[in-house]
Amino acid sequence: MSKEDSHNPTEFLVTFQPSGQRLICLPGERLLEVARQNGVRIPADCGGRGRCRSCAVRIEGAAPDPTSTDRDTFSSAELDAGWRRACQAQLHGPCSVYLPRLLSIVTGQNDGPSCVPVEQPILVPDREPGFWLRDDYRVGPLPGTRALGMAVDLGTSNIAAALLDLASGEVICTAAVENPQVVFSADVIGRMTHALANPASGCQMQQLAVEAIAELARRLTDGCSEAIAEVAVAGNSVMQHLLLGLPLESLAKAPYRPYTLGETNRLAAALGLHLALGTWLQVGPNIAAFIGSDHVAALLEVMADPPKSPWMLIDIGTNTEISIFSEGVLRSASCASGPAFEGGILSCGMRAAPGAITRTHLVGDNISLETIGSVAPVGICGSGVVSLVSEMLRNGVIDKRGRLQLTRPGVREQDGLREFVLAEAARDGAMPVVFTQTDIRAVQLAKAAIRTGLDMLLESAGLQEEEIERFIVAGAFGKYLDLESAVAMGLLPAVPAGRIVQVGNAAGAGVRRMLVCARARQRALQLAQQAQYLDLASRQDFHVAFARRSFFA
Amino acid sequence: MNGLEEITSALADLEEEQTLQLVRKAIEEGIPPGNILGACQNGMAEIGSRFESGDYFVSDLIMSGEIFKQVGAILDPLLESGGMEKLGKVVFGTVHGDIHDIGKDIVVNMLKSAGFEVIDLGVDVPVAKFVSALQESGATVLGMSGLLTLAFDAMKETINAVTAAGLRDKVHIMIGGGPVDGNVCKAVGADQWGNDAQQAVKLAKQWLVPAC
Repeated sequence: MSKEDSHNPTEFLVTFQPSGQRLICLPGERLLEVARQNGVRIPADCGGRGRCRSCAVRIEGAAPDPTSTDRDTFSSAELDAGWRRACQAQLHGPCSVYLPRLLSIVTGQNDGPSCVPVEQPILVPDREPGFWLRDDYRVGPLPGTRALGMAVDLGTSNIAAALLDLASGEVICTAAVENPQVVFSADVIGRMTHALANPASGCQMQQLAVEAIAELARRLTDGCSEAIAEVAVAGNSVMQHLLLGLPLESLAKAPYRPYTLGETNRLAAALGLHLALGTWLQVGPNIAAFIGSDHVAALLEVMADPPKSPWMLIDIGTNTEISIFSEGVLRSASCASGPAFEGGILSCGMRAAPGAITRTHLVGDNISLETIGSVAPVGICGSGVVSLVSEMLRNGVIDKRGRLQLTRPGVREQDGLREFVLAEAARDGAMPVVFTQTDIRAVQLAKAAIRTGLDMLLESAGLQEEEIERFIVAGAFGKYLDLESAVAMGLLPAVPAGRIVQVGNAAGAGVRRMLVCARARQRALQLAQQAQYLDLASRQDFHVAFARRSFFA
Repeated sequence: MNGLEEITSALADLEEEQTLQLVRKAIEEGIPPGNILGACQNGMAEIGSRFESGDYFVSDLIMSGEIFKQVGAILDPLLESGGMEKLGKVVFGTVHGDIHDIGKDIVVNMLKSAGFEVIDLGVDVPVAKFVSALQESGATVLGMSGLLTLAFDAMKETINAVTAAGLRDKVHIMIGGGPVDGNVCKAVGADQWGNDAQQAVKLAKQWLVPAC
């Protein structure tokens, strides 16, 4: 524990750069823990278990001795330069910790129409000016003549929000931030594990989510959050449970029951959100434990202008939700696809930020790379992964079972692990960018999870993939996905050309509808109740179906 | 390559159709079913070492289990009662509260193909079921799998029940699953832990086949 007022002679100062924040630490404290307890954000994609390198920091001064796994993670030059993983680093003396720059403002989340229909408003003006009525409850006073609302897409990685005029449905502005809970873990399972192991962590994550929403509210209103009179939130069930402080126990173990499937209304103030007096926050309804209100919102958005049936909707993320609509019946499934396509668990994975590889072309011995900002490659993001894997397959760099072939150019073996070199280490000490055998395995698992879900839904509807009239790919990853590569590596089905459409953040668009319109909320509730949930993992043939789909045909 | 070697290599290469064809052909040619099973066990052992070297992946192990199961369905009726002599009995299952079965099934298949008799209790196994399976079968090895952190409590509970039933000093206990490590092993009171099927086979051999 760091205590500012203690006078233990063994204590020392740790300074975080570039913020300059200083903390008092005791010998033996773990850097990641110290950072978490004091609100310093260091990402930990694997949950701080020493399995990845996302918490890599550079330590100047009394750098802790590298652990044996640190030696596997970093080159000796990196270790000499002070690179350590925060989850492994046990502090023993004064030092400066240099954090890699995090992109806290996220772009590319603001899809959807600029105005949504209001058939039946949520708030109506009360007789007294400045006050509004939400059913029988009063909201206000509001500073202006308009009542504003905030639609929040509470994602595991990013939180996107839009400010709307509740009467007209006009979208005034949008903003997005990285979900600050990533300091605990990149994925929902890791966050649940932390919250279950230590209730204080659960409270901390609730607070982080609330603070992020409060920050978005300030940003959207130029600091005038009290102009917001209604909030609608959609997210996966774990994000909802954490935000509302609901018990997670039943969600974390079989048979995986959420605390509630229905919609939840809370006074915003009860969560610590300081908006207009009397403002309510509604979290949308869910289909099943792992098909949350974000998927319901995406379905609502698609249904607003229904495509020709049969159609499928897929939102690829750490958890991938898929629905199929055929002959008036909606069936939904969820697949544990993991963070491979978000770069989360890959050795050189990263977000879609400058330096991220987005496309690769392999021709003989030559590799050409496209990066965001056309700068030197730093890592690889989801769309780059799909492009790379399809190129490696096409060129025989990996076989159909996913094994890297040592005979191919660019493939080498380091300490028993094969890797494909995308960019060699640079002279300035920049780390090489590689795609390892383990990375390929992670991609295979993700692809297998998604394709098993897709194929089993098709089967339950009695359809072949070529019969699908519209295949809708939603989500940030899906938006920038190279469809040709995705089909080539078997991630997406080979439906006839032109039938696959990329719609971006459909959940974010759908939650805007739910924010302003009571009818949209009713429809969302109906969708959630009527969707038939297909439990994939309980099927006897799941494993073998899964294993077969992890290969590249 | 003779017929049996062909079977070993087809199975090792995970050639599903070819393996089954070769097995049927060998039966027609009058090769003793026990020898055919032996060839398949050699193939499974080769798959295990390819997995260890990184050439094969979890999915390959699942496929190998699937092929081995199909081979078993063909050979079992032909093998004399009890089939080959078993190396020993192992009780295996995923602990209560957890329904993950992929890893558990891989381990069970690998143990079976290595010659052990496995009493597979399935997933979400109540404590009492583990204890009664040990009592009824007289097995001296217990394997428990769990992928969730919550599963650790269930493992500990099960081991306590085994102790309460007076079986603890007669039974070797191994645990495995995603987050399991040496600390978990110690905390729940198991004897050993492993993170892949090969380790489970090695442990079972170490405990039940002292010569190995």
